Amino acid sequence: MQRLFVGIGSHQGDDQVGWLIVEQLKRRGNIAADFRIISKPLDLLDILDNCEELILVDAADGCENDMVYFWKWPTTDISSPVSRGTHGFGLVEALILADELRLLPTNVIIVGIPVNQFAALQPIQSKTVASIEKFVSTLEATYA
Amino acid sequence: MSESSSKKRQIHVPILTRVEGEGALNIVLNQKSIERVELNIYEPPRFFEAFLRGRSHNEVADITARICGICPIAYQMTAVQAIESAWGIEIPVSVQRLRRLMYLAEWIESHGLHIHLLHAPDFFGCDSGLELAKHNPQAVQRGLKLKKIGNHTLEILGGRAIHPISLAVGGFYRLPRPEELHALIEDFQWGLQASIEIARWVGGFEFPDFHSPTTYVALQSQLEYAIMSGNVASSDGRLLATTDYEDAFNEEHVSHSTALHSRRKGSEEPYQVGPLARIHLNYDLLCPTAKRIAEELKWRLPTFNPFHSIIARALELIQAFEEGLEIIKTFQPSGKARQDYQPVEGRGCSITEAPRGLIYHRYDLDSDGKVKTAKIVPPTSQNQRQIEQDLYEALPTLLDFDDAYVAQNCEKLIRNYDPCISCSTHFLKVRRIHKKD
Repeated sequence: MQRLFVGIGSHQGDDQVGWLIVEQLKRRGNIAADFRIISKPLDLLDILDNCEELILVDAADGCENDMVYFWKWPTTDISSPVSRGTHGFGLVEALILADELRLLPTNVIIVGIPVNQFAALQPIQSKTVASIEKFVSTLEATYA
Repeated sequence: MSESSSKKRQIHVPILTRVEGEGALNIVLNQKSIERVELNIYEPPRFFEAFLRGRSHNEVADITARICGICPIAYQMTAVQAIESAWGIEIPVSVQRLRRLMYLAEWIESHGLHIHLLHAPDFFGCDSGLELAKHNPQAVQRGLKLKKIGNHTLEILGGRAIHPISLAVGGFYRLPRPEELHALIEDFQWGLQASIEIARWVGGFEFPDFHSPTTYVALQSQLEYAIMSGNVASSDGRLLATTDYEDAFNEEHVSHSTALHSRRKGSEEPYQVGPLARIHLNYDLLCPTAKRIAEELKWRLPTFNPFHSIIARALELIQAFEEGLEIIKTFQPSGKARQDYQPVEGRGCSITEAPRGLIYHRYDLDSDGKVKTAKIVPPTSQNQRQIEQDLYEALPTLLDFDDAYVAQNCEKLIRNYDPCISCSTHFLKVRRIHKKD
């Protein structure tokens, strides 16, 4: 496995957008990569064997709508909300741990998808669903 | 973080660290006396018992799994067993063993994570699992490998690791093939050796000399280390059937928490569920290796030191791997994956042992198999009063220290229980207010 796309999310409202985007990328088959989805950021450390490039797709709160954001790790431009992630190990903490344990590949990109609704057991908003195609196309244009 | 006056001292930890979910700690001291100790749970209640009303029995496992991302199997298993009890569905032994393996996999994942990333750092003066990883990367990697094995086992048995989908009322939607399970043998053999190493590691930790009285409550069985069935036993000698749980235990609102507090009826004293309770009430049924290692560590029961919960979790890891290996090696599919059944109007309940302790589900179902009412009591809401008591016990020894030291040691006490705050915020009763015209 060389390039790995990982969608991170949960069933809380728009927080599943990372899953949906990665699943759509896999279905369309326009990018040569492996594709996985996870709910707990610490699960990331289980799937990095033989990974040379890691692209993480996650919902991002606090961004302008309709734009896909790219951050190259390491970065201090993002943080994990306290309430998300497992036992306080949000995405940032999981990446720091993976770095410390020398599990990360040299190229790690975090892709932020702007959303603002994270209520438990709420469905993803229709406007977010409508934007998935655009976000997928942006990622295909970048990585195909 | 604190305000000091000549008389009152308040110590507030706004966000507890290395626990699942959002909670705070509020301590108010009046000179040398403790005025108030509150575990403030402020996560919003999730209203799952209301969501379940009107839902088909086939949806209950999927819905309840979403109460907790850490222990979905505990919720799913207790839910399907409760419905099966309402309709008299008998699960064949071979399917029960697979369910038990599934549950053990969740213990492996949960205990492995808690020991290495959340609890052990406290014994090394580390602020976090990240800091422990700098000093002892091998230990942290071992914990992560345990989590991976648990996840992988759940993928095979459950169809996926994120909210598994194969558990069904009556059995499974699909049984694994023997070769799928046999592929786990090497991992489980590694896990068994690793668990022995972990038990010896934690057995050598320096434990605070702390004692907090408690009554242990757990499932107890005559046949096996109780996880999925049994009677509800207490260390004060009481024993009751699962069906009598609501006659003996109650939940109540407290003003400082969105999570309900559990209480034994007729008693003001708290009780404790979880690994320490299970070990106390089922010690004789631990697997041979776990008992051998407990003897080797010279770990004596009873203990009322909640810091010893890390030893209990380590011994349960040995239990999970030794028993899991036996189930995997001897698995032979026979019969149907799922038993036939006929919904009828009725009530069913079940109790199982989630990684954090006893969990209770009760469902009232209509003749179409839809849920009329549901009651779910998670383990963490049962431990909250005990946690507050531990804090009351500990604080007199901490009062001469500064607020940061007090807060840090109180958090360590809370982490002994591996609280899952997200689970505990599950329910509020709505009181109807009649307005006068």
